[in-house]
Amino acid sequence: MGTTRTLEEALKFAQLECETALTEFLGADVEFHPAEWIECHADELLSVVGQFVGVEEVYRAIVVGVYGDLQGYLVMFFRIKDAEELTTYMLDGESDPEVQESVLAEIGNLTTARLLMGFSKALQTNGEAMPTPPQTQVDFSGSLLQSLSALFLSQGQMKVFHSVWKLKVQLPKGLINGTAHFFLPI
Amino acid sequence: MVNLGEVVVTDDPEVVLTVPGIGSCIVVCVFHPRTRLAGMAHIVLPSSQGRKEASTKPFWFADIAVPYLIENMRNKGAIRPNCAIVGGANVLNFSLEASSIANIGELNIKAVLENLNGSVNIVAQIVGGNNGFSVRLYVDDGLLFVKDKIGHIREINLSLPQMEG
Repeated sequence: MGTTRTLEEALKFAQLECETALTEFLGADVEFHPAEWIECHADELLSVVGQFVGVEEVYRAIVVGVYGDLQGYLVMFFRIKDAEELTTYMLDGESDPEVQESVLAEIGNLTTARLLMGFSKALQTNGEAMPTPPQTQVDFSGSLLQSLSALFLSQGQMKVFHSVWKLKVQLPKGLINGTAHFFLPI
Repeated sequence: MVNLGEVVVTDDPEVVLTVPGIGSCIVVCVFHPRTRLAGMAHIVLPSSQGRKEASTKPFWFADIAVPYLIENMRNKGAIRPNCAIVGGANVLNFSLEASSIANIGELNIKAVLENLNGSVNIVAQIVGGNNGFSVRLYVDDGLLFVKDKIGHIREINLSLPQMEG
């Protein structure tokens, strides 16, 4: 794992890549607002992420794990209504839940792929990292974050770097907000 | 809020013990009708065996947190309290290394039940599955509210005296 500065360079590069890729995919203006990496204890994810999402609120979440040279997790949170508006816009009103989920999964795929590209460039690795298929679900953000904490702790990963992107998607009907969280065990 | 790896025992009627999102963790909720003593343990992992964190974060682990909770209640006169356990879900469901991830919730359920070992009256078990819950335990009346993601709220009364052993 690189230094915080290296991670920030990776994030900056990945941010531009993600904006371009998602703008093309969604056909709408997409902006990410990167923050600094914060080192936190693995049992503090709930309070750290709780600054950005309501831990007792139910969200549509996209979760992608990364294994290999780089290990970590991407978790994206959208409010249920925002996720519905996003998929409705993408699918011209198609209401098949499986098709809607596939749109969200693709957002997770694209974001993870570009993030890995950013890290590969910044860390000068050959990119031997493999993302899991995206998992999309509706649940309390707190339940997901708590399970992620337990997963890190069970594997003896006591500290993690956390970074958040605030995601804004400009649709004709209005602005969709979401957050993307990256967790990299140290 | 009862944080990960925290155990709380109180008879303060003003207190509401809450955990806003439970996934693979287990929340053990206890209430003793006669003493009006309530307790909650937010357990993260099943066993402290071989874990160096057992000295600094002992209540992460079911095999330390559960006996501590029960002993703490007993020391204050609350013997064999009513109990509900919530959690142990398989919320993260990746295809890679899925077995190790899935096992945390299942192992937590098993470890908590083993460590409770007849020391409480189990009134409700809302465990397993793939979805999270949030819980609130009101110390003043021993009512436990368990909310699921759809917003359904299950009310469990931990204060009924006939449950007391």
